[in-house]
Amino acid sequence: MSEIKEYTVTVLSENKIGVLNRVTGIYLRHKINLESLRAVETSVPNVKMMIISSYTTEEQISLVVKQIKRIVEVFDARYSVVEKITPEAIYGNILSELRQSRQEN
Amino acid sequence: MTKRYNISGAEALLLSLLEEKADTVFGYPGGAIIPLYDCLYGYTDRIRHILTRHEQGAVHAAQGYARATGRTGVCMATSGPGATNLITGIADAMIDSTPLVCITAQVAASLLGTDAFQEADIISMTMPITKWNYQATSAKEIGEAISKAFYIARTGRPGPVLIDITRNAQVEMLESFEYHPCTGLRSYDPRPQADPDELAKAVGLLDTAVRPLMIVGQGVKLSGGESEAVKLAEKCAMPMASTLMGLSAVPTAHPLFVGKVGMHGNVAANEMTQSADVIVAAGMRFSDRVTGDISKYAPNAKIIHIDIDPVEHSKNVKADVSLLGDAREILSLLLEKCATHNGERHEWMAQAKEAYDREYKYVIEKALHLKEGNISMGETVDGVARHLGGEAIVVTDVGQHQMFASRYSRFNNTRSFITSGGLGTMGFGLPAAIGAKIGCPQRQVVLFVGDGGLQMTIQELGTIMQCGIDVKIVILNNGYLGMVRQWQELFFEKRYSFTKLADPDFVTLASAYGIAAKRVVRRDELEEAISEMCAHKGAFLLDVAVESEENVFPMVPAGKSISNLIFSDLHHE
Repeated sequence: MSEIKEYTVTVLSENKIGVLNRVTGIYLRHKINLESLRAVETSVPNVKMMIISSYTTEEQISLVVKQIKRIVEVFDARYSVVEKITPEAIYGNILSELRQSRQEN
Repeated sequence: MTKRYNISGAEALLLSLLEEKADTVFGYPGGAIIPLYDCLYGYTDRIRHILTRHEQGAVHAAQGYARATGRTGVCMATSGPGATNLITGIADAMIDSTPLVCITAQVAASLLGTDAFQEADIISMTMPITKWNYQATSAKEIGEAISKAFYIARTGRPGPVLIDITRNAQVEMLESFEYHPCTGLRSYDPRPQADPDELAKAVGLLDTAVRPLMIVGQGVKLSGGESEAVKLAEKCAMPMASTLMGLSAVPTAHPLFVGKVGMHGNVAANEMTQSADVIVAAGMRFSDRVTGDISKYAPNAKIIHIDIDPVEHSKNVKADVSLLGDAREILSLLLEKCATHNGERHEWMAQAKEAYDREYKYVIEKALHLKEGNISMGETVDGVARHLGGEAIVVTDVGQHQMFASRYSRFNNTRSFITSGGLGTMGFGLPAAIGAKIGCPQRQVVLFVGDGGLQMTIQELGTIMQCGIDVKIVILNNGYLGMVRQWQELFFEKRYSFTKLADPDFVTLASAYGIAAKRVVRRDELEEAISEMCAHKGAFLLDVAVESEENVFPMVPAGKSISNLIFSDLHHE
């Protein structure tokens, strides 16, 4: 139970101001850093899905997900351990260029 | 309601409150909220506004009102510091599941995010401590925001909601306005139904239990399930314990009532938790102050957990049976399906009697029947309790006096014990007592408060004076921040770091506010002073000089198992 893994949480919610803040606020309260976060449209108007990944334990992520579900505008939330979608796979060219040429600022 | 034409956003707000039958508001005006207060000026025949002396007083009063009446408490404050002053009360209401609608004003929408005068981002600040919040930046949003606010605050697991209304939204005119109460939201299920299989498992466990125990939490009061809880206990011959927040849900004098669980709980309630084979946890959340060392909690029990909030299920204590839903509904289903237990459980109830006798010998007798020395907190609470006969609403602040008040008060009726449980907010007591009295004017309201906590919101004596509120204030005055001092004595080698207080003359202070007051130092004056206070028409402050280094016992030291109760300083050493 206490092994740290990368968990991906998906959150289906109303597309309303502040929902994202409430969701990320729950991660903050548990002091969990977010590795990636995005929100996508769904086939239903005004309903969106967030996809959030973070490294944590199953105990923590299950509590985080229950607390996310408690948000009034959230329909459902789930967690799973999934194949990692790496930035390299999508942004490999830019990252390669960055590594070679541009200094960090 | 009938359609209204050409009204301002502020008026739409007040009409919305009236539609929700919210006729009492606790608040404090200021710059950005002037338009709303201007409108309120014309509504004083329909809406009673209680002017507190600080916004924290307004929110705690709204909490006291909600907890005493079961209705949603309403408070209002201006933007910036007015709004931020509500934060402690909102956090308190969140953790103690109190339905509140907090209305804050905000700078004009055109100024949002510009560091305008008295601008504070109260929506961001209150996100983790509200069940829901919303900023209305135009008049047309107000009606819907208020209807959702009341619906969300009172349904499901109740909690605080904050509605922030920009100045322009208050003054904008609406061509027409019609209020539609919120009846549901597609993403929000406030009435989850318990799984029938889990219900059947619960019935099976209860029917075969040898040493069952019910622990009554505040959820029983919030759902109105008090009589179902008592009937289920009677049908199963099951003793009932209570959490701090659950106190008064079941009558203290009920033969099956075995007391309060937790850190300063009763011996019977804690020891029976440890030896029970089935625990029905009704609307309680296994807080750390209830469980102590969780790995050693209730080692022999199958746990049947009743709670409307899915987050609470198996959060702290793993439930063997999870009954998700309204406590009253689930208790009545269990009541219907459980077999009647024939006769009493003599052996099991004998454990309660034996534990009580031990608690009496080691703790109660010493606390209540002193012959010499200073007055004790316990005997003061007991003296007041004997006068009130279990009929009053008892309000407390936070600290040693709170534990004594919870141990020695008696309750015949539900919603009669109002305290800050989860957050442990010093300063809660005085304003909460004001709110309770406003909500239940026909009931006697008695506040127990320490000399420390009283000074955190003492300005509310002004509210009592202005509004003529009849609350009885009993200061258990030990000249210390007593609970912290107790921990310093027991666990920090008596290093009393900044816990000694130099107090004002509270009687003189009360008289400055026109409040009758008396100070008692000697034991032989106590009884008469309590009689005088109880008989007095109007507010009364009784400053009782109690033993300065008295400790609350029994006690479970933080992080220890609830089996490790300590009974006295001596016992500890």
